[in-house]
Amino acid sequence: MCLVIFYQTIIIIMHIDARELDNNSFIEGDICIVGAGAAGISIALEFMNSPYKVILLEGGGFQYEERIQELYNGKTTGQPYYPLKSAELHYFGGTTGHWGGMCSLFDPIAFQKREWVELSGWPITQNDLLSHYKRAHINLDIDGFDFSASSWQKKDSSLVPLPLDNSVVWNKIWRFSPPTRFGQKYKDTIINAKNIHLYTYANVVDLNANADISKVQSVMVKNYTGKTHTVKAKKFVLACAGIQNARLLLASNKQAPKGLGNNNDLVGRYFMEHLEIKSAELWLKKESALKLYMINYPIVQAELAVTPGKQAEYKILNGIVSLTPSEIARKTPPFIKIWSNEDPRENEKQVREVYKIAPEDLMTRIKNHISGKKNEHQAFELTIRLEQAPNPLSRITLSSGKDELGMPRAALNWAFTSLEKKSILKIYEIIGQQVGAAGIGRVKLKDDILDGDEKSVPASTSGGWHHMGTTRMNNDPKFGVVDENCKIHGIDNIYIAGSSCFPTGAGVNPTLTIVAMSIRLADHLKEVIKL
Amino acid sequence: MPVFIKTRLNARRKPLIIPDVLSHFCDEETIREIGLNYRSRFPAENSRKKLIELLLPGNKESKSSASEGNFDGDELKKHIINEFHSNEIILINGWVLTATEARQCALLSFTKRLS
Repeated sequence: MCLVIFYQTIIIIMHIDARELDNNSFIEGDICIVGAGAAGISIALEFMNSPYKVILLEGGGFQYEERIQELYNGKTTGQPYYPLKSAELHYFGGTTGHWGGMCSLFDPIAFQKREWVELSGWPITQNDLLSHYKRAHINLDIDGFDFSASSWQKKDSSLVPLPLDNSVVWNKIWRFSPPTRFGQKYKDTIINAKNIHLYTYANVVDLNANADISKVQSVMVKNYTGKTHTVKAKKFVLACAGIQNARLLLASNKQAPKGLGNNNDLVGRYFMEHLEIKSAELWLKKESALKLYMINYPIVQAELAVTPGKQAEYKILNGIVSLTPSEIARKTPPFIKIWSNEDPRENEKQVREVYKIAPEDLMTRIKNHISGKKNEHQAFELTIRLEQAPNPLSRITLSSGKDELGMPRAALNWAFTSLEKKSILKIYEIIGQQVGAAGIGRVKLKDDILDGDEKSVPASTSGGWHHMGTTRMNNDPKFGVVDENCKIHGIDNIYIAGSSCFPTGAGVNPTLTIVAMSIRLADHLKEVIKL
Repeated sequence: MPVFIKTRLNARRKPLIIPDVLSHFCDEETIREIGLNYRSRFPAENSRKKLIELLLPGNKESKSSASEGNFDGDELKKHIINEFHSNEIILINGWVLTATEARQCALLSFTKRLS
């Protein structure tokens, strides 16, 4: 903690560098949040100016450090994936330090039990989350809550949708965060909040429960100075993202040999990503700008989605399809090919170089929009972003290697069922049918998706850096690690925030839903902490 | 793979054997390849006579002159749109097509090169 006297005003800065504390320090608060990314910071913000003392633990500092990032290194098997070390960021603000800002709602069907998707169904509905979605817009600096294509067309008549039957294919709307860098935007707010105590270089390596493992009593914090500290709280929230939440629970195995909260062998299983595959092309009879679908528009973009009715009819997963002019898309390799370095900064440079993205994406989009270039094209590459079917073999486990702090490293096996491939082919077929019926052109699937193998996906299959499902939510402990309030089953006072709780992943990026769910969790914690 | 075409086939000139929509972005070779693949997948239709019969059911007058271009393609275009609406689609060489336009491609593959 730091005391600053500024023009006779005393400002108490509630930031503590855990490296500077005496070894074996003891820290105590009402709520301990482990992880200061979008989820952890959003929960902390909700508790600002409350009567509760919040301990916010961040493993890194305020900027990238190689030695901290190295703690995320790990092995991958199965479908090729990004190096784990560069798949998420390990400093204050988390992966919002380089995210793209794309936000969209999970559709109502994403929350529903679908007979054809094993273990689908959330214990909450989209309706339960709508008010939190609206509040999440504020955290993410999204202007207005409008996800209706027709509404946007009324605002700008040049945003013309493709003339498809919207009972079959509809326009899924994206909104854009600037993108908000939580580390930059909320640093001062957090450290100036009287009741939020931020500890940096405070890596939680173990969770200590009571004798019957019904309550977490404390967490053990380490950093590379060799110091160890203990944090005690009434309530704990793990907000370390999809891979690290599972890793921490599995590694907390001194009292529970299979890991904390893992009585039913679910922790780490059902790892899900979004399959992102450039796998088809749309060819139009006449050149068109398709402005509504282009990402260079500053505030809104549409992608093509199959309606819930058709998903049910064909028993397929939810996926949405983006359009990029083919002449541009051909010059841009899939992310899995260019995000191959263990240093996320190098990968980011590579992506910016290939995609010619300026440091601030929003400004680029605005400039492109204002420039008013004609930008009409006849061919558009179609990239699908597909939810993954829950699969117990797709999972995070602990590897035999340990990191510098002595914590077992994570290992990822990324695996699919046959439903993913079936869904990709059917979604393109449906869009192709609609394009044909509209008489505007034709759709062509690429050769590598037509290999005849029902399970394999092309080598170009990328992920969205969206790590979901590893502490899945279900009110039955046989099928979920956490309940509908994100509390770990069987343990009274520990909760999980973030996409690891998602039972299924919808077809869109998770950040907006992560923030909405975190706000919802904060609301719940405010109620239960009074008791 | 479709290519930018300098000289597109004119579907108005030979409406029975040149699929209108594909001709906007596919060169002749690509259309022929679709046709050849269709013929190999559906050997029962692998004859010029059979394909014309299927494309022009019950229309004897048109059958005699269709491949020469003396044929109104508008009905065929409407039929193809209707096939899409009825979800009567097939995947040939990756293209989401209807049987009718695939048969046009097949018929084209029986002819001498046009371009």
